[in-house]
Amino acid sequence: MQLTTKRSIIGVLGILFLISLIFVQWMEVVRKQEEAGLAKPHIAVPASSQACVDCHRQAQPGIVAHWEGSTHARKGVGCVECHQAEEGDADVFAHFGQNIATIVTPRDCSKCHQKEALEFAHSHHSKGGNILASLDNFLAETVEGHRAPFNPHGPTPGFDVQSVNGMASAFSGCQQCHGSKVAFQSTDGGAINVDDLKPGPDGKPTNSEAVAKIARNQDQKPLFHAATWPNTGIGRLNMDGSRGSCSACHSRHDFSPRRARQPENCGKCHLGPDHPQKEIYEESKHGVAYRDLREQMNLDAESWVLGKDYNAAPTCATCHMSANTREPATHDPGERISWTNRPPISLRMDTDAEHKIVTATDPVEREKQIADTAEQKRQRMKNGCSHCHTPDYINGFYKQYDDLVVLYNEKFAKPGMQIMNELLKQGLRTKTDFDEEIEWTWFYLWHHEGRRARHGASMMAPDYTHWHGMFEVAERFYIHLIPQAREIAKHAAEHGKAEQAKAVNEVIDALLARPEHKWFKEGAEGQTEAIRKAMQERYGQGGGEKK
Amino acid sequence: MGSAKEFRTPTGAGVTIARQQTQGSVEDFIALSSVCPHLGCKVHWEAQHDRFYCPCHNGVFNPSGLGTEGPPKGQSLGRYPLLIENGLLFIEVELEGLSASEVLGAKELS
Amino acid sequence: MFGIGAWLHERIPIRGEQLREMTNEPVPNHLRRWWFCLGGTPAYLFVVQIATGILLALYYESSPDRAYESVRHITHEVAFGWYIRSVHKWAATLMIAAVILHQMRVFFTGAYRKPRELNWMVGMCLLVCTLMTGFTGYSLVYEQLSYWGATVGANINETVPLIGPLMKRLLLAGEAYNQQTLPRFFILHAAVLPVAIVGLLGIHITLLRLQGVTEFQFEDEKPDEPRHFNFFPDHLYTELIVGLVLMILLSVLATVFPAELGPKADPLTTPEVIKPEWFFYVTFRWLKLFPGTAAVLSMGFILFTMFLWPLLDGLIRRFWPKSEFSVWAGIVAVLAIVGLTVWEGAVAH
Repeated sequence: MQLTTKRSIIGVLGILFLISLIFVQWMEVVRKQEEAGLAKPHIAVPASSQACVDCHRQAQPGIVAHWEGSTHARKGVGCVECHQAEEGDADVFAHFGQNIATIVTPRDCSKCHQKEALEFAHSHHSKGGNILASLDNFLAETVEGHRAPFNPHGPTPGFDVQSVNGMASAFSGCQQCHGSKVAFQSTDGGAINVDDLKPGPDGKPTNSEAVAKIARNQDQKPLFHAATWPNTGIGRLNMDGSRGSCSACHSRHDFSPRRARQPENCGKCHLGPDHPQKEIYEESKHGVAYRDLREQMNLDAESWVLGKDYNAAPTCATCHMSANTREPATHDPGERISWTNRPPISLRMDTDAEHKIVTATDPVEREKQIADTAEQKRQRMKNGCSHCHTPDYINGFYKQYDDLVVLYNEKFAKPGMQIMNELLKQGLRTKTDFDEEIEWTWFYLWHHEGRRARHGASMMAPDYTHWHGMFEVAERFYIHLIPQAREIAKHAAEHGKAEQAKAVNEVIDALLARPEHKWFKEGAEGQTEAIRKAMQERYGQGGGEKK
Repeated sequence: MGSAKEFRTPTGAGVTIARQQTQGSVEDFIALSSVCPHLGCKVHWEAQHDRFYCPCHNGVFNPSGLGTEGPPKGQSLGRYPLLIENGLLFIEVELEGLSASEVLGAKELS
Repeated sequence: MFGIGAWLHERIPIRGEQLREMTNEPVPNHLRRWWFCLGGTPAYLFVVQIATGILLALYYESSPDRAYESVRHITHEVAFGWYIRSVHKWAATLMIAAVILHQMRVFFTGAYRKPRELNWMVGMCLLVCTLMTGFTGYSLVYEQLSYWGATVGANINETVPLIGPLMKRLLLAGEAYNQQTLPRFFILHAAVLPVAIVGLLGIHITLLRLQGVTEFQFEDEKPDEPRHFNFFPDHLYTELIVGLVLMILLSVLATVFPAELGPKADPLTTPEVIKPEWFFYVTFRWLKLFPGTAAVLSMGFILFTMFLWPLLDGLIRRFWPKSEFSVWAGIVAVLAIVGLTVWEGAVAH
């Protein structure tokens, strides 16, 4: 080979090498841009979903853009993978050569996310739809609304109201958190839901009569009952028999783990007067630390394990669901909770094989039924706590928490419940809830104030424990509930029900004679005197001037 | 019966406990080291084949821990002495005993 | 100009002609064929490894708690970290491949024979050092393979009679993998072995220069042509071409198949499917085929035989001068190595 030939080969190769380095530089620039969020990550649309993307990019550019930013898109999970339906599904319709379903249920997600779907199915979250026949829903469906359409009270200028949908509060309120019973419109004007379709174990409807009655548009797409869809309530009752909605927390169509890790995500539902968990969290040291150190939370990381990927602060997810170095992640928050503070009287979370709370009182019977004890659940929670706190500290906190729950239970919840039961037993209040003042009083006491106190203690928010909690519970009990019960008794005695009135008064008297309530009747002058004395000793002057 | 449970001793060594009979005595149980005697990888129980298997060099051990195939043929997994007291199963290991929670775990097998 | 030249010459008393003679050794004609340049390739890749290795060492942390995280940091966050790490990994693969090819070329052309027996032995030491560098290299990542590879490697050492337990303790800094193990591997990988390789390479090349390159004559060469050509610039150009091709190849491999990060080491679970890097497939399969001590001792014996082969070959040729035994032995060895490697590569267990 001639030297000149060699030289030119070297020249060509040198240029090629340079090009390869330029290519490396280009890759680095793209990578950095993607990392900084300046450029969209490169997404290869799966062939099966290419047609969907082409069309819906015009029609709903947002959906496609959200999906493009998702882990699903990066890993090649397209539209069809989730929205695919099979022949025989209740909600299937042919859409440009594909069998498509609009609603993606936990059953669909479980095709890939099996473990998560199973844990979720065991959780109280997935049972949120049970509210549809409960006390709270009586409020929305009857007290606030009406179970049937009714005639308007008067005309609305510029808006033609033929009939009032009495269920509107239930649909837009309760069910957007708790979940709706998703339904199709029926050709006869009614609704067709899971109860009519009677899905088998494979999720396919067994009642072909009901399927035949589903109203469809000209493209054979089934029409949803507008009251029940759209809905991302966490306990949604789906037509394939599955319960819940994964998008309740993992918002479609980006399914961002980052979002599910943040307290605002839970705050869609866990707030307000009856269970202000998010506000409680924000008041606590945990929430304060999170607000301050949000940048150090590594929220974008693929793996988000406490003690490994972040340590700055805990969010709701950190303690209740996410993984830490000692405890795997779970989609059943109940696995780590030792009290349920939802009912009027808090219950220990000893659960049976069906993940239901064991309410038996006989110890032998309890042991027989319990599959997972509250203590085991608490230990799982502690495994997270222990990343930042010592065992003594954690146990001390739990002692404080237990004491507050027990105090509420024993001083107010059980006595209140006893009075309410006695009134019912003596026929001095009706079975219908919310038609008498004392029923509202009792509801405020346990459902709003009592829960605030207990939740406040559970998550270290002193103001919620006390001022928004126990203070109001006490006021509700002494200043409203007791006088109202007395008033009912008095009224009954005047109207020929002396015996019943006496029974109620006896219950109240017995309660108030107990040492913890004695001060209410007898006063507590002795106690205030003792306090004044102690203050004087401590500070050299009494709070004497004040009385 | 027939199932295996993994433990870690306080010194960090892996132990597999399996129940092989149901006579109700300590002889029902067997506690084997999960360290392969060949080159130190971790063996695991394969229920479908009724054997312990070491993925490093295809070592196979029968339920009592004796090597039957592969390089460790004829060698045995280390055995830990067991004893039962008050219905609790104890593993005797060097240095110190197991913590209460681990004993509780062992009890669940019975 | 003269001033500087004279100043320099006073301090480095060497003349231009001497320098030219030292560097511009006449190169035999057969080296125009590329496959005779394989010896230079590993040396070239070694330089690449030193350069990329220094860059990686700037970010790598050698404690078990931090190692995996630091490699993740290099791969995902450091500017060009993924590229440097990928080049380092691919250059290692190519270097080992080139060493093996070079050794095969030397073997089948009989270039190890008298008077070059010692240089073959130096070459064998270089091979062992290179393989050990590869092994310690992938142990540093602290993936599952790193952990279990190190454990198995140390236990292989333990099997050696007499000195085995001591060797294991020296390697692991204790009876089992612990906090001190990874720093040892790092020192071996980034200091001890590279220095050993530099030293051995020095001896390797010095011996080569002292004895001259083995000369071959091919049938298609005309007898009246000059039998040598100049090192500079002619052969240097060839080496440059080889070097550039390698760099392009590395760049392409690093961008198309970048080095990935497996699951983090878990001392409690050996993964269901575990395999070393390809260059240890042979030993891995060998270990599966024979019980512990037998496998280790036979491997040691084979390595020792390879080391002493020039002397054994000399003995054989003294008694049977026409014997082609070494060629046949070589073919059998190559077939065995390729066969075992393919076997290991093809099956999961």
